[in-house]
Amino acid sequence: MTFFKPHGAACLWRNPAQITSLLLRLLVRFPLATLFALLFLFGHGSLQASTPYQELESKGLLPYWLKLLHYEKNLFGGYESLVDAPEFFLHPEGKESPSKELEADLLAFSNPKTPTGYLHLPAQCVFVERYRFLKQAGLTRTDDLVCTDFLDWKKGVGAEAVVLAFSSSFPNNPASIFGHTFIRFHQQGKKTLLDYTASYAAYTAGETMGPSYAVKGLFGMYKAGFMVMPYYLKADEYNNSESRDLYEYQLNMEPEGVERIVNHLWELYGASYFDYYFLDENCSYILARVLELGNPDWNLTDVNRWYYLPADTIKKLVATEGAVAQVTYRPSLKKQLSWRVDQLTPLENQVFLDLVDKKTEFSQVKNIKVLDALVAYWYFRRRGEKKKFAEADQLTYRKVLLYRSTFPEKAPLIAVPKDADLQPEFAHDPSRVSLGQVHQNQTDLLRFGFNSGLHDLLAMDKGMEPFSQIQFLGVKIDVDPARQKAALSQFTLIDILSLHPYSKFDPQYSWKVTSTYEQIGGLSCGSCYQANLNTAFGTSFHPGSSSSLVYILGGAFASLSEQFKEGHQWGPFAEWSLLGGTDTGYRYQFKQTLRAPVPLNLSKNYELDTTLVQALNWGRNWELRLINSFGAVVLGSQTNHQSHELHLAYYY
Amino acid sequence: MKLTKSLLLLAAFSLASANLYAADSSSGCGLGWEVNGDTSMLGTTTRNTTHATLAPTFSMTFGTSGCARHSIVKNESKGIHYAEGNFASLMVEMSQGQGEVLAGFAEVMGCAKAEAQFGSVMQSHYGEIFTSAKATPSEMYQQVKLKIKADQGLSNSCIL
Repeated sequence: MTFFKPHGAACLWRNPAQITSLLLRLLVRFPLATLFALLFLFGHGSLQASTPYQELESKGLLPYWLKLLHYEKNLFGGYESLVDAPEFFLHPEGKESPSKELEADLLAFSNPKTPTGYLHLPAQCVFVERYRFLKQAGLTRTDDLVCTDFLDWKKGVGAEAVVLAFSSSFPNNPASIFGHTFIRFHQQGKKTLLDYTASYAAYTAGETMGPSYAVKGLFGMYKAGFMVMPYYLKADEYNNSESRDLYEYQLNMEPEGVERIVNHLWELYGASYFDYYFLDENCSYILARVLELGNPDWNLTDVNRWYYLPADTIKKLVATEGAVAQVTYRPSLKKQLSWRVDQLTPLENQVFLDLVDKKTEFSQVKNIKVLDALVAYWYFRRRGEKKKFAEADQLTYRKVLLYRSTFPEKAPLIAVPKDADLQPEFAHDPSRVSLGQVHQNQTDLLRFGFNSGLHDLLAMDKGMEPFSQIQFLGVKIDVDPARQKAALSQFTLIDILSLHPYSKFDPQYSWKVTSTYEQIGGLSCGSCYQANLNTAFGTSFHPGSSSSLVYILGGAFASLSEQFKEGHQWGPFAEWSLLGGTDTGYRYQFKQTLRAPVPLNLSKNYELDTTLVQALNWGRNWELRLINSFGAVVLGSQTNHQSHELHLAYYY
Repeated sequence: MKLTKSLLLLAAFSLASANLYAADSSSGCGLGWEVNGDTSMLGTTTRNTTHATLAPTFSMTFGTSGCARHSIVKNESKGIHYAEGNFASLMVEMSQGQGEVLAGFAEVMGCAKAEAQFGSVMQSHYGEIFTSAKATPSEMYQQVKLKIKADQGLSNSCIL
């Protein structure tokens, strides 16, 4: 009974006997005033548990109310709802006060004439889940209205089961490694493509992407809400337009749980939006909160990190006993093409390649399997090239399709086997801490490392797109125990490496952007800091099997530091590397980078770094890493430096 | 101050260059792959839509440029919306006489009881359904309706 006790009444609690005698005297002298005072006190519930809020609490139902309205505890111990639309709250202070909102809602439910929300319907028919919940809890006894709009919509959605869909990363777009989740409502016996989906997205009103878009997304300047649309649109968007795989987790949920989710989506749809914060309150976080309504025992949103990822929802569900019934897979267009090609014999494959290279005319081919592979190739190109698909190609494409249609034989249905290794629950967690020892320039140092996220080339890549790297907000702190000194040795703002093995069917280049701030010259040099930016692009390919990769990039670098004569240094930059590993948890990278500051003089003015990194990982989140680095710095005079580091890392 | 300035410069530069490189993405609308040709690294992670209005009614609007209003409730428009949203896939699967998207189309056109036949009939009339490289979803839809009516088997099995 510690909530909402009025300040004035608090001091009266000290001595009950004193209070009673005081009250009796007051009642005699000022009967009306005392009665009013008593009513006031009773009304605030400081002497009796009678407010609706307290009633919910005593029935153990308060957590559901708080969840339903998306309240979270703020820094000052009070509540604040994540929902930003004023229409979501019937009390002007509803966003910060669950109790005031509750009272306003109960009042609105009993007053059907008041239009509410974007739809201007009675409150009961907008906040359908709140109403159902409070009615069941006995806090309202109003007559039920027939909410036709809602009921028709609910029937149309046809939700019997809930499926959580996860899309993998988008080729050559490392940021999509974050993944994305949305919900599909399935009905027994219904074609999957005709199911309805609910997804949370930002309304950017057709704005073109660019830096301003990124800033707005980071700082909550977009509004976001739930969209309900047919699954065929989602499947086409992810699989075909973006060539991304979809992994779908069918959840075990009681029908009442499914109903709560659908009811709540109507509430969100009809009366809310959220300010969209890319990092914090993003799509998957809000979606996870909505899923939690389906089962009171599920905790899908507690992570030991300041940000939340779509894969977190999957990992939490998989870890919850009995939550996931089965996992199905829907392949990307690229995988569909590969599958069609895999059906061909070596001889057929050659015919196919000749067709692609236009060495043969398709009208001369009568083999259906080859033709279907050719159609798949053209379709992949059509969806991938989008506006850049040439007019001449459009005509050829149609001719190929028309030709295929003259063969009545039906194409076999796509049946790409699921690659369970890519399922997101097997991926390591995004944040990383490490502790190790560095031997550098005759000094031994202890190094603490911390990385906000997300994944680099040497980390275990199960559950993730192979050969991808995106790191942000990382620090390395070095400690010299002998000299009792500690300093920040490196800060990484961003480090992205997008490697896309070049192939005839998918010609894309590889690229990299890194932005770091580091200490040069070791801990002995107090103010030797340097800000670096590297950007480069090039190509990558598999030298042998697909488990190893070579990349070659060329670009530019720029460094800012007081150490330099003009405060800065810049010039061409080149990097090449060989990457590989085994299935048993060993990974390695051999890399060389070259920087040649302007004015160019490659015999007297360059920096060449050679590094070998080896990593051993186990148990999804543990890793041991060995880094051997040799640098030759020739800037007028030659200085060589080496460093060797061994550290233990843990992902969380 | 010099430090902050350089960090900000680096941050801005990183975002800009990353945006420059990253591959294409599409938006939420079924025809988004035609509408949006711009590059963005962050585009796919935010899963934006080209949806312009925020005042939904119980029928939903999605996208601009050709994407029609879709209503969960009304059945008449399901066929044309499916045709629009799946146009590219239907163009392929109809030439092949079979496919998951084609089966779904058969159902929304009322031919759930004759999916295989639907596929064969459309395949054999491919050139009349997709009349040119510039064929549109609504033209395709109208032609499909005509072919259903014209085919004895389909006109009996389908509920138009």
